[in-house]
Amino acid sequence: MTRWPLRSRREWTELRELRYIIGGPQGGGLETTSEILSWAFARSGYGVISDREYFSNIKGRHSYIHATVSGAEVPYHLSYPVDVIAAMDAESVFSHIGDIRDGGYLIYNSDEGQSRFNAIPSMERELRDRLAAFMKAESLDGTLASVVKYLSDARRVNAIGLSYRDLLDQLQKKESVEAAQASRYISTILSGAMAALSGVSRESIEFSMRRRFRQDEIYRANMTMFDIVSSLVESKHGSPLKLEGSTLSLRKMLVASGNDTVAMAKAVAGLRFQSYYPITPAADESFTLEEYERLAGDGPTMLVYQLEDELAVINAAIGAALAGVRSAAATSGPGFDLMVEGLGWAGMNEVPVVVTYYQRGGPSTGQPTRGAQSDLLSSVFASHGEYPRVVLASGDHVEAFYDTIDAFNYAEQFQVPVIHLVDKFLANTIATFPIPDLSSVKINRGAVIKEKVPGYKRFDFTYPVSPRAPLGTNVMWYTGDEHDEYGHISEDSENRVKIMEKRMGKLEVMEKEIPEERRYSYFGDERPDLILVGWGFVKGVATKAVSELRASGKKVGYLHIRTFVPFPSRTIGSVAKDVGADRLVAVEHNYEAQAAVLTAANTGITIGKKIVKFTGRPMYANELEEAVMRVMKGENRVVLEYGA
Amino acid sequence: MSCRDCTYYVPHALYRYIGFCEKERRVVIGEEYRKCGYFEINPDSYIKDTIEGRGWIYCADCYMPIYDYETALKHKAMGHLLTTKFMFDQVAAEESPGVD
Ligand SMILES: [Zn+2]
Repeated sequence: MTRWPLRSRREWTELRELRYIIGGPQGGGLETTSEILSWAFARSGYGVISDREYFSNIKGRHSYIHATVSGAEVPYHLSYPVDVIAAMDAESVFSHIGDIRDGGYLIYNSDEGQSRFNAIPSMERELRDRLAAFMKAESLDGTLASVVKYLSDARRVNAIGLSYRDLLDQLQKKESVEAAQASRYISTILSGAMAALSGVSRESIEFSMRRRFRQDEIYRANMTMFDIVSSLVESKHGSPLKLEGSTLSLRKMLVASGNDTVAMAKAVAGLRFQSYYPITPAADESFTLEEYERLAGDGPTMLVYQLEDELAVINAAIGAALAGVRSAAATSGPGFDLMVEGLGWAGMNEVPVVVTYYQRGGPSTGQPTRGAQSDLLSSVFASHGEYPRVVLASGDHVEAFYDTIDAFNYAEQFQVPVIHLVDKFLANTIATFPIPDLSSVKINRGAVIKEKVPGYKRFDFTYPVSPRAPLGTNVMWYTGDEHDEYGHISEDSENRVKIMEKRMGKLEVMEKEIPEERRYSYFGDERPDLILVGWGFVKGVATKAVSELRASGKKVGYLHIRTFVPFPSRTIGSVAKDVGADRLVAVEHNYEAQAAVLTAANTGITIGKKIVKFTGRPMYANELEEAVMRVMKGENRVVLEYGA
Repeated sequence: MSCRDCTYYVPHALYRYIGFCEKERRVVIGEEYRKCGYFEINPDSYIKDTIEGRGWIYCADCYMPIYDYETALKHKAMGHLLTTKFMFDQVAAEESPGVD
């Protein structure tokens, strides 16, 4: 088990990949720094993935950005140790002592040298206890200065102490500083130092700052701060972390969070109605959509509707879908739980509605700002009574884009609720990815009747999917009770059998119409000794671990599940037969390995080996590789727990 | 005596070393004293009056509200900054998660 602090070494032999952490108080400018650096690296032709870890707290608790930048591949993994830690405050240094590689770089506020870890009010008791033990073991006096000295002496870390106070003072002498933006300039100190160390061009930063700061004075003051810091750091330290020239041929790419990617895809899919109640980590998607809300004028409209709770949210989305538009709701676990009854109504009435389900740590309020993949079983089974649904799960931004569009297509093609699973990791991660190919996007609205049909039967028994008519075009009845072909309430036994068979018959239709190859993807050796089986955000780290393990001569593969209903049973069945079920390893962000539970339910195959993580932090490539090696040596269950 | 001891100093909620000077209307460094001519210290009764009047006072160093006079005095004795004012901050509103 990886123990804190991590002491693994990483030699900077070739500048192919840069990993960094930027830490600071929640609400103190961190997110902007992350955006600016991500855009700047992307602008310089590099691929970036930047994860944001934060407390369930409005302001003040320690949050951090953990990023990977590469010019050799579009990165989709995070790993430790990192090359740089840039700290806005002393707490960020204390929280990440173990995360920096030997010989790495630490940027910190030299004014805070006398700050003690045990005097930081926002720090959790458990971390304080671990730090106390660490300070004792290393004979440190608990001040930031002693930690910096330890890192320099024992770990060869290059400590770059900057007086944030003096820098702010220098800035005030040159520019008029907007007091309400004060923390912005402090976060720009870190952008400046990071850019200097990694040799990011001023032009790229200028581009990013221009994009971020619309107000001219704020842009100018931040650029001035950037110049002060970057020239100071560069003159003293040079650019020791400059990456090799990028070999990526991404001339145009998107830099976006998962939330924004789903929002963009919904617009492309033709979304006309989205309802939501604010909840982490789903709300940002709706906030982005609100920027594109159109209620009048020429062309299509889009209504984004915030309601009083998720009961209302799902029912509003159902109403819009019945009216004939593409309709969705976005939520996370607690909200989804409230939607379950409404979803059953949608199942009963064959309503094409999409629920974008952002998983976070549960149960109950759980870990609201942390990631998890622990709502898989809930999304597949949550229901009283039986009805068909489609459940999709996205592994990265590109998948999330196309899955969002497929979700609407499937909803309308099969007239079922579609649950699109994403998770906090993906939602809050900024990544670079190729601009989606819109010419490959197909919109399938299924069987729709727009004209008036005499004797219209909304739930015609002849085929599981009966042509749907939007409200207002024909006469139809909708009710939560069981009903006949017209929608009238009926408790007749014969009718019940017929309509249940019609509705549930959609499972067979979906099984036929959604091709097997749409349900999974595979990376790695054709005849591997070990196959990792995962889903969702595991994809990036698993494919990275597989490629690293293969490079060291191991024969491994990663099977990525993309749809849970319908399930890729044939593929998993034949893989288990070819390779042996005992060579499958479930890799998931939950305690039980829920996809393995579904594998057993769908195929009868038991996946006995498991690598799981449920701390709310993402899996890191280094810990997954190590865990795979342990499984290869005979362990059946490895629990990962690294990350501040 | 430095700016943070002055009655016109409004501390930043996150970065304790900076604040806003109500007289000069600009960002100042808490631990410096600028010989500005405005410097004025809170009256001795400030803490007591504040707790009696408002029911609370905030320790900007411990990030916590204090509701009784004795506790407030302990923080004061440690050199902590007790206040009811914070610098106006547009950044946090832009960066904090809107919801839980
Ligand atoms: Zn205090």
